Amino acid sequence: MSEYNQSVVMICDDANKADVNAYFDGLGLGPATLSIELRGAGDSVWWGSHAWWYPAALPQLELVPDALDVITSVRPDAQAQQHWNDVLQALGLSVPHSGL
Amino acid sequence: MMIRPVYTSLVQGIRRALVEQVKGFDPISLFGAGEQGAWYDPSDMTTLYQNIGTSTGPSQPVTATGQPVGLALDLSRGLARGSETVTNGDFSAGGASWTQLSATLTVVNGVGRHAGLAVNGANQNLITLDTTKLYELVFEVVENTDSVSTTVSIREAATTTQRTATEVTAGQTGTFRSIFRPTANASRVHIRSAATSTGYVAFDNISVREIQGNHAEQLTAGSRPTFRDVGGLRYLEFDGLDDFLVTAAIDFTATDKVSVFAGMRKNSDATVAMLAELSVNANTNNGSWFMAAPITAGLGGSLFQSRGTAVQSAGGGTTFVAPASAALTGLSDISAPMVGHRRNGESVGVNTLSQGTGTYGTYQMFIGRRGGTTLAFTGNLYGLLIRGSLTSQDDIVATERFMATKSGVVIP
Repeated sequence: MSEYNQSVVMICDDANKADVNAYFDGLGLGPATLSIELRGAGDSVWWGSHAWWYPAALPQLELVPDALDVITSVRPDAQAQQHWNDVLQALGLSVPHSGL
Repeated sequence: MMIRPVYTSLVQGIRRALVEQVKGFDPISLFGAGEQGAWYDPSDMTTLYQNIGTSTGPSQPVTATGQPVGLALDLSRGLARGSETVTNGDFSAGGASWTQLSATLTVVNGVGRHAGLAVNGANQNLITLDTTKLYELVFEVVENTDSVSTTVSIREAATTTQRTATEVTAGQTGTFRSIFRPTANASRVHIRSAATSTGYVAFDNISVREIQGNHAEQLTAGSRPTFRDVGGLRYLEFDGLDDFLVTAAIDFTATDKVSVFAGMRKNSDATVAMLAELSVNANTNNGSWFMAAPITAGLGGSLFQSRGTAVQSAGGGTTFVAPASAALTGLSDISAPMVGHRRNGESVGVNTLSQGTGTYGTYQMFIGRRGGTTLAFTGNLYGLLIRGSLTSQDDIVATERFMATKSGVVIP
């Protein structure tokens, strides 16, 4: 049985979000893969996602067209939020603060 | 905000009931009068699926810890099935209601033999569905002489758009099931062979029936919570990033009262998080509510909020600090104003200020993330029950104990 033990973080800029989500929807992964709104330098808008993949599915990431400019990070058996925070820190991105 | 320290009659009754044993309690009894609502119980793995059926495959049940959950069935209606939508799915009337599309259908010994004749042949049966509801396709393959796969799907009546394409491989027999949401009311059961088909597949008891209830789904693979079975507890783990489930719109307009029970564990207080919310934002939508934990980044707490036309809430505090498990309860009455919040069998606030007017509305319910976009919950959900009614004192106690047990919490 395949284990969902590969922590996968994906990031793209706002201009590519619709195309990236359409691409993954076409793979049968659903309509809104990148759904976490992010902020970068100059208040630029970016989008991110976190998911658990099984190892045999990882080659799909290598097939994502370069034109979509998807930044991908994979860590086996990672702690999801630690992985996510590390990627955001490395890219200089943050999640806009939200209150109740 | 006025907080009444003791909501006297309610609390006294609950304390009396606390000393009684809760025997033989089944939460489904809370829906015995047809109350609107939902009940999700991850400890019952038969209610969990990794996905609903799509154009690329059928629904897959959750069978092991670590698998994603794309569908949690609502138990509040006892998983009752609706009426049969397929006419002559058992071929008792021969080939009636079946249309041959470049394939043959021969009824032999009461079963339908589908033969594709090597031309991508198909047979179809027109049915009427409701795109707001969830259905289960079930069929039996009793004989299979074909050397290639045959696909059974639900298609739109007038297009090739399909859902829940279920593949029957060469020579395979048995009972096949898939849960799906149709893309059109006018639909059809569609049986299609490959162009290289060489034999026939004999079908029987082809059925498409609604699974009644307000089921929670996640169509996007990366946003599905994870099923865990750890230390005797089964739960949905939300990653605090993009995991959530959502229902179709639920009609609560017949009531201005609600009871919400959750068995949960907060794994982090780093960011404000939404455990469950009726509508995309209960701050602004009339006739809605939410249960949140934590309520202030870094400080913990939990809160239940309701809105008729004005927002009122109960709860708060900083004593409920992650990581921590709890049975949480939210109670609300719009017309006789009251919002109450309880944690592990004890009241943590009652607010009797006016919520304005009206009933609860017809909205989607989000679990684990506000509107599917913000305030992602970091933690575990062991159970969630929403009931469009206030709940008796005895039943509050019984339900809280039920949720506590599922969550590994001991209520004194």
